[in-house]
Amino acid sequence: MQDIFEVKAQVTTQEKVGPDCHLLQLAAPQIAASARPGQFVNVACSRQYQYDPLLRRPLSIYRVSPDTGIIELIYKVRGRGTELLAQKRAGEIVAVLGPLGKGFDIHEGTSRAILVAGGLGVASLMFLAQELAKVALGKGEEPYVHALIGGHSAEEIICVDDYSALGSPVKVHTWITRARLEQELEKVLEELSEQGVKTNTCSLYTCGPEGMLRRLAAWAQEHQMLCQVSLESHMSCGVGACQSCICKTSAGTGNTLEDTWKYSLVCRDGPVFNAEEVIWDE
Amino acid sequence: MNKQTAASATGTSVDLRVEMAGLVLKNPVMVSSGTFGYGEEYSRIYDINRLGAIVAKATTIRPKHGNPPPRVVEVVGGMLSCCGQQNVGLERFISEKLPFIRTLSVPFFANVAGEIVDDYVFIAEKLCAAGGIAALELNVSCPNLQQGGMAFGVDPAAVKEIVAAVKKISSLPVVCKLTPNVTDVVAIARAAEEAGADALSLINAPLGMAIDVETRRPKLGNVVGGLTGPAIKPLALRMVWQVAQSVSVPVIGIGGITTAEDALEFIIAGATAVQIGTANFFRPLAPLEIIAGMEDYLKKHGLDNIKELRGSLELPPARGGH
Ligand SMILES: Cc1cc2nc3c(=O)[nH]c(=O)nc-3n(C[C@H](O)[C@H](O)[C@H](O)COP(=O)(O)OP(=O)(O)OC[C@H]3O[C@@H](n4cnc5c(N)ncnc54)[C@H](O)[C@@H]3O)c2cc1C
Ligand SMILES: Cc1cc2nc3c(=O)[nH]c(=O)nc-3n(C[C@H](O)[C@H](O)[C@H](O)COP(=O)(O)O)c2cc1C
Ligand code: FES
Repeated sequence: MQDIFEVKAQVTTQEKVGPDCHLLQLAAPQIAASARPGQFVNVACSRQYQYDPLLRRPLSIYRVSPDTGIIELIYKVRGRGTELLAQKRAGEIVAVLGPLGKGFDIHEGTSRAILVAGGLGVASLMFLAQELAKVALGKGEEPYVHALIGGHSAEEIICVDDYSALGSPVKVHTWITRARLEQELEKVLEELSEQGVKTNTCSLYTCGPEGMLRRLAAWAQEHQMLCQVSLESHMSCGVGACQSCICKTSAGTGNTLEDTWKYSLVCRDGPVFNAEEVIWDE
Repeated sequence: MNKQTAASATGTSVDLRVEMAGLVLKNPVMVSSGTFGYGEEYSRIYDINRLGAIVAKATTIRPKHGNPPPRVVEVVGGMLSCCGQQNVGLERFISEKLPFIRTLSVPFFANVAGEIVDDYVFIAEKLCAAGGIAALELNVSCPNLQQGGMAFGVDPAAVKEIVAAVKKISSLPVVCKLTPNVTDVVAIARAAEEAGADALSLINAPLGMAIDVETRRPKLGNVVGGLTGPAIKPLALRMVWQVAQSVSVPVIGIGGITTAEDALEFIIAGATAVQIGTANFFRPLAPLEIIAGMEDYLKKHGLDNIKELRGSLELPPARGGH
């Protein structure tokens, strides 16, 4: 089945949304029509037949508009690849492969969803927030989604307006330090208990630095919440062919290696994993 | 020849078919081991039956975790990798991967890796019996392991032993894949041919290294790894040219091929077919673009058969005696 598309996508907009952070809009109708929250695209940053950098760069799908065929990416300029990407202007062509990977699971039965984004983690959670807001409309529970958006500094907190624009189903909280994040989480817990919502009926979704993911996974377990984390890894192919993007996970079933763990591929088995499957590095 | 069929199949008037090791490939564009998974991965992007042939990633007797990360480092014009042959192992290759492979109409090669000669024979026997595989490519050259492949590929006697042992029991054509990490590739190529290899493929990845100067540590978890991608094309082309002149079995050119022009260079140097590797990662449609580009080239140059191009290198007169 052909469900991944190599699209020579035209840039429709490129704009700055924060320090070194850009929003890129691309015309990629096939991807816009089929992408799910948490999936990503593999973006060719160098010009065609220029091999510096050689490999594509994985970027989360921030939002899609199936009607106009536009996909949106939010990225931070870090090195050679994203530097070149930031130079693309409207009308230029960027090759993108996608949608890639396994995204977030949306459980209709979840009573509340908590989203925690650290830094560029906002990029992978926005699409999810949008879809959850739709689920909320059916339930009439408000706020159905708590989005906790943060970063190392105030200016690193980006995209808040887009989350706020989702309206009453989504309550946005911002945080800067780890301590503030913990306070915000406590506040959310208080609110849930006031509303008589049991934490074991809630889901936690998170994307950001690995240390944060790991602590949140433990926190979610403590509160018996379903927890899904979106992992990052250096990638080459993005489709499960090169085996470069490994992470350790519990072996699960059907594993013939006589071990309790295995290497999973972040690009194909993830980037979203159930937190309890992930074996964090010591 | 039945040109009509080829023409109607490709919708053009040029004939890209090549014969190799008793097989007919509809075009000379194959995809290389370890860069195309088991075919399923790329079948989600395009119709992989359009390829000349597909080579599966290495199969070892037992499943392997492979090396710890980081497994890949990007370098100028290429990448270093040391995946350590992570694979599902022979048993699951047969039970889980072959059913999909059997549904394809494209010749599918298995890539066999072992640590002792008996491993190669064992895997080859099982694969021949399983059905669904078109040929065996013997990976005597995988540079990613501390033991195993490396030792065989650099020693003509060892290469001869493996190829002869597998040929003895194999009902399938046997391709021997050569390592570039040798002083005299021609000696190894001749050894493989003498032992009965039906074709030779080259090159596997030359070994490379990269260091993080801040930490003074190697950038790869495994310290050294295989260098692949456009950076190695001139090295690969030189080796293919040398080998093609020295053996009479077909040669499959591999190394950095990204464009039709790259592929044509290998054919002109004497290769019967080519394999696309790392380019699959950064230009997923590269194999299809190369097939189309070859057709255009033949038309533009008034050739109607790719075979007319094979080994057509024009050497300067000064080298006449070579
Ligand atoms: C599934 C997935 C989704 C992603 N989504 C986004 C996104 O939506 N927005 C965004 O800004 N970034 C995202 N990233 C990270 C992004 O891919 C890297 O920032 C980018 O590849 C850097 O490329 P570069 O050429 O600019 O930097 P490079 O020159 O490759 O690297 C510059 C620096 O960044 C580090 N770096 C490179 N790749 C990564 C990585 N994957 N994770 C952490 N550090 C890295 C390098 O080690 C180096 O220190 C995602 C990564 C993955 C795996
Ligand atoms: C990630 C990766 C995995 C590979 N795995 C194998 C393998 O399992 N067996 C093998 O014979 N060659 C393997 N190779 C080597 C390739 O098949 C090919 O010979 C090499 O990459 C050179 O071609 P290229 O420059 O076009 O990539 C691998 C290469 C890469 C990059
Ligand atoms: S990036 Fe190639 S397997 Fe994940």
